[in-house]
Amino acid sequence: MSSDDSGQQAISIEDLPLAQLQTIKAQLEAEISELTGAFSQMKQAQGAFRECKRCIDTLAPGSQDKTILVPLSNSLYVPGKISNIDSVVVDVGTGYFVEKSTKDAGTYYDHKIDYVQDNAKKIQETVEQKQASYRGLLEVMQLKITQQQQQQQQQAGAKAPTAAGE
Amino acid sequence: MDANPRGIPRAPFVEDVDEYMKTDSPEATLRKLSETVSKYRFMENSRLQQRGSLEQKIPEIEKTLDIVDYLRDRQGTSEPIETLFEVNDTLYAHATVPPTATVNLWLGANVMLEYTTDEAKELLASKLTVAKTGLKNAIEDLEFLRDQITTMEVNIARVYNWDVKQRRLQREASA
Repeated sequence: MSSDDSGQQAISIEDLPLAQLQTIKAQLEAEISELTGAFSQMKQAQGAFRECKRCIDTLAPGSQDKTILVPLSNSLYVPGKISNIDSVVVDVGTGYFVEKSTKDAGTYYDHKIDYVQDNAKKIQETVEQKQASYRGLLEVMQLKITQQQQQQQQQAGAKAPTAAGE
Repeated sequence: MDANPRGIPRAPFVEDVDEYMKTDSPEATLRKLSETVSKYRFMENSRLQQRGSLEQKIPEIEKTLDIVDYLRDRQGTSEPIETLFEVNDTLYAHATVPPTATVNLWLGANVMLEYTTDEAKELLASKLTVAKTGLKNAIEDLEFLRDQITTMEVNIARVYNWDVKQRRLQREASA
């Protein structure tokens, strides 16, 4: 992937016209914003898992048979007691719920947090690579624009003496 | 009928464009018509949002009502219910719920009130009726607005075509 990127940069420095550079610039911008979006989603997911882990801690040993308001629907609460502080049920996705001990549930969330952390790091690395390519591209574009402007000035300068000469 | 039950005015259909265009310039008329169309579209948007939110709320109210009914039926027994409740998005924990004569309803805006099961049932039933009527009205309004928007767009098209014809006649007359 990185050799492709540097290969692309080598070509762009030498050959491509400004219009094509614009297209590549737009493409890189889209990719960077998409990856940044994915990165922040990972961060959010990580936060949610951390929160779940914290919630498990509220089922600490002291809370057996503690009275709580039990939510039976999203607007209905009924007084009840915590009946089992040693096991919880975790939603592992695709409609499966697994009963685990509180310790195992904690381990499960830890794994999830680490997995998401790894993915987030990979995305971050890709984003940094793309941003470096983007900066290089901008420099090349700037150079070409300056060259173009100089050429136009020279042409205008070449015409004027001819007109004055007549 | 000049307006629907919620007071949305009916769009007038321009029968005779020549008569209609005698009062104002084409630009001013087209502007007025466009303004009216955007007002209708704005109302359409707000009804769409209403319908969306009501369609979400109604199943939730029905579910809560069912649960309250279930709790009422169990009031006679002295057996507590074992249940799992949601602690967080992917985490559920065990709880026991003894038979209770009262429930707490979350009314929104950081307000929760305790009701007897009968009062709760009444409250939820009335909320459900209001929501269902609101939904019916929103759908009715949407249909009505669709018609009015189409009428106005037809008006705009006819005025525009009339204007194009007038300009062509003028050009031919002056040529």
